[in-house]
Amino acid sequence: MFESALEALQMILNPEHLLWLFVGVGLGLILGLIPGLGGITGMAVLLPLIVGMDPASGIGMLIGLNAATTIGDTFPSVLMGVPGTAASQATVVDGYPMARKGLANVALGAAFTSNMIGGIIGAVALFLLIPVARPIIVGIGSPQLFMLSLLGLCLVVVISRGSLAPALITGLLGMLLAMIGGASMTGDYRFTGDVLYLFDGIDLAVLAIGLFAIPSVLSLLVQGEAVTKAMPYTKGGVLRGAREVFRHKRVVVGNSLLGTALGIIPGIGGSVIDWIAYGATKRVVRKDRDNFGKGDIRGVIAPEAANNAKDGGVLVPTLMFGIPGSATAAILLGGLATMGVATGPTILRPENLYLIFVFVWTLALANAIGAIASASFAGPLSKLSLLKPYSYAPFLIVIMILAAYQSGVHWGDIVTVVILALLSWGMQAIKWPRPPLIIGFVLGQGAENYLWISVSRYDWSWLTQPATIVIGVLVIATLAAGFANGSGWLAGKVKSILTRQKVHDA
Amino acid sequence: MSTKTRVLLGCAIGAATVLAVTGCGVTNQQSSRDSEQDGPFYEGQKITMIVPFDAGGASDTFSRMFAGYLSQYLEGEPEIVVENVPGGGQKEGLNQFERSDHEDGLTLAMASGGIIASTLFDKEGIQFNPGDYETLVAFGGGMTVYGSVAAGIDSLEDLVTQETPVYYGGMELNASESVRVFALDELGISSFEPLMGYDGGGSITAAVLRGELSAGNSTSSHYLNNVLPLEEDGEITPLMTQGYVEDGEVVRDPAFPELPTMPEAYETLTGQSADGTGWDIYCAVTTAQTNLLRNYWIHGDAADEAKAALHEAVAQVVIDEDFLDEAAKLLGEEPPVQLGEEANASLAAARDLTPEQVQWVEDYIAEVSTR
Amino acid sequence: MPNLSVVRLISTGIVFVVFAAAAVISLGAIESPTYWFPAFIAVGGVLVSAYSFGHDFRQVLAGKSVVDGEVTDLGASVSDVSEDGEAQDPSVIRKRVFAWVLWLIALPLLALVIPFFFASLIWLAAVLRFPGGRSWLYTVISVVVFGVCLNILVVLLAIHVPPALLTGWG
Repeated sequence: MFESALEALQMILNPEHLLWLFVGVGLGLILGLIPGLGGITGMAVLLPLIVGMDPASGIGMLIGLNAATTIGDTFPSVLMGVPGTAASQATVVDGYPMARKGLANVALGAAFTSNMIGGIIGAVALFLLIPVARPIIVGIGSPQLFMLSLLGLCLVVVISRGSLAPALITGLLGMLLAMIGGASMTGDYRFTGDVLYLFDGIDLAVLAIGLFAIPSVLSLLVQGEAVTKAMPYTKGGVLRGAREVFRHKRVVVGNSLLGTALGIIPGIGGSVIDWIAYGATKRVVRKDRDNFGKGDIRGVIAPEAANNAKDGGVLVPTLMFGIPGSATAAILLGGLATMGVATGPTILRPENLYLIFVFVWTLALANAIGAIASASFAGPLSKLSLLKPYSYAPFLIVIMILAAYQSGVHWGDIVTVVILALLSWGMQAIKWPRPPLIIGFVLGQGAENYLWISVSRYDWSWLTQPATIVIGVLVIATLAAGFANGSGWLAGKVKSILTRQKVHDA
Repeated sequence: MSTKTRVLLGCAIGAATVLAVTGCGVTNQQSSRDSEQDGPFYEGQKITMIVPFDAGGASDTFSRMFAGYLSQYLEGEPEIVVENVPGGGQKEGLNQFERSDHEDGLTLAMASGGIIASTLFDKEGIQFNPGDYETLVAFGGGMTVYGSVAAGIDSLEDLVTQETPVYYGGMELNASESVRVFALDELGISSFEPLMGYDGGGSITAAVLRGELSAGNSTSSHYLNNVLPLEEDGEITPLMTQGYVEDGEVVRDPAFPELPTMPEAYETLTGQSADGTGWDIYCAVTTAQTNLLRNYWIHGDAADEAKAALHEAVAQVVIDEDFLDEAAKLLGEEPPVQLGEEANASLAAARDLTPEQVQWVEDYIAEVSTR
Repeated sequence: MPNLSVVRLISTGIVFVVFAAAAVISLGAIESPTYWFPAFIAVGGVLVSAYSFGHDFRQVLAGKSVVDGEVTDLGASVSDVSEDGEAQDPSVIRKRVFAWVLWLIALPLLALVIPFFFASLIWLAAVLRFPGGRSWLYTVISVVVFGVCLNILVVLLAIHVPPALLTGWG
């Protein structure tokens, strides 16, 4: 095995392969930076170039792109409160308030360091996990996937502050939106009427841009003020951020491992992994939990570490079974097929082992290069937070509408994104939290399919499977914790029921 | 005006001119060809191939590869650009193909068997008629049904002798899946439970390995690329294939010569011959699903010169060794090929269902869904 | 700002109606398993929105505002107060919000008639000039530079550009 690892490393360090790696990373950083455009746009463009390339170069380019997108997307998230990609939404919750305090460069420094560490841990995990991946992937059946989706949905409760009812409303609205389109079990179309555009349902990219990106930009334009007036640490802010990461070792490592684990599970999309990491961290830390949402650096470290770590995790089912863990992984599979790279169980055969290492080294290198490159630009770019919004915001709106159009290449995309943007802006004004909406949307459809299969296959006995019970306990614990933290009548009632019980026992 | 302002203004005007000149990359206008032109029809032209799938999937990758070879063999060597138009289960892409210029011969479309079936069974939103199009070439691809050793299926007979229910997994209960479900239903399994809603071939395979499913199905490509190693390790039992249709009869999939087709399995297990409405429909839908898995179409009313040039080029592509090698690498098998006339005949056969037969399918789907 | 609490009540009401409609559709087709999950969600939504409406209504009747709590949300907000602590005049904000709603809708409307690329450049010039109050020089230069960069991006990344539906150009 050692020889395979070295052989792969030698392949990667070949100048031609490195060149393509840099191309992928460069493109990925740019695409991440431009809010709305994401990895998928880039992947589709790079695919034609892959024809005839040898695997190490092709893998270098595609993986480089993949890894770099989640690094570059932090720029708009922190500097403008506009998520660069759907995976970077949770970063905005604490990253943007930091920018408003003038700490944009600190946030960026912390983010990129977390990206790098998370990515490397993800790469190492990929190497350690592929041999044992079989039992994990085979062992996670539909009932467990349903319970995991449920756990994710309960996050809605955890990350909410204040009254729970609005969070539940938006969460359920999100799930309802996910129901629009075809139902896989029967092929019937739901809630679509005669509109052909809706047959495929609402696209996640369109939802993400309309829900968060455009309203944020509109708010900036209405305020007319720069994000911040002054930055306390113009020099050395980035390094300061990096140092903070090492102060919170457990947050970084914990979330990296969480991100990898979630990446392995097919069905938990990349756009909720950052929320899960954020919510889990908020729940698990002891000190200053209330600071989350006001510019706590841990709220930046957690999702960013998880985001990059998931790239390693997602490759496990993708390479082992040809089960793409995400939309970009699906395109990656296509690219690999074009190059004639074998995926599937044959990848564990001794003669193919070096391929796994090619992926591992590429991931680690891409993350390191991307993070270092971004960190060097972080200082100057963070000055963007000092600019008045009219200098950049209107241009962003044009780009984001164009980006929304890419999802389905249909005017319906533009209509949908504008309607969603205006409705979402309104939701923000009346203090209805929007993260539950996207969480409900992403997890809702998967939850339905898994529940359907679980019940059809096991009747109700799936509830008694050991793995299901374990996750079920986690769900209940999460809900209880979320209610304990919440305010409002509903939470109060639950609390009083629990405490009355406690008094009763005492 | 100060020098600085003058310079800035000059730059602005310069950039504006550049913009106006280069701004042609940003609109969708297709350059139309001159009607008077000597030389090869496609010389200096750009052909658009509409692929109604997202970038990166098997169909898209294959189409791009095919487009590359087609471009080489077409007289005049035009550029062929693949345009992905996902949406509505291929309907958006083919509607767009219908809307494009018919006569100039500059737009091609890729369509899979699924959309051919949809023109009969799932017509909402379809604004085109495959009968208006000419097939240049159709590449086939089979479907394989395999069983789970973990669930006790070691051979074809185990399906019917099992006392526990047999769970069969699929993605979506559309027309193609319904004829497979029908075929399995007819085998005489005491308790047969179809489970739809899996995300893809990979998920089905994982579920089969786990024993959650007793049997699953996937494209032969996926089977050869991803499941074969599991068969060799003794964890998966290949059971039968959907087969191809030749002269109205279902014949074995050349990639799996030792596996029976579904009608054959029926005849072996029940001793009866595969006749009747259900099996006739099986034959028609299978033609669409397997013989016509990937079709490449040109408008029927395109210029004769265009069609002639395309047919000629396609005939050369499908005998090119390199093309066949790459196709085999991509798909795990060399795809069966049907050209021009043969393909058109298959298309007609696939769509040759009476309204009663269409209704039969819809009723069957409804009945299975509510079991 | 117009009484946001009232707006919230109205919105809750609308959402209640949406959930109720979905519930009716789903429960009506309940024999088909396609509608089991939607029915569950729609009914849940009906209950939660009814509860929320009731709760908010009582608060409003008691004269309290329902939009003052903290929520976990992300991004910039029109009610963000800058570090110096000076809140903007609510009526100014209200006018700007209204203006920007119109501006946002204006872009796709214009793109229906003129090819998107050029429509966006015209729109940008208008936005920078009118609500943005920038000088003509600044406007022209930044729009042109942006145009060149966008052109490069579109061609390089093969970005699809929306056609002008109503006139068929581009």
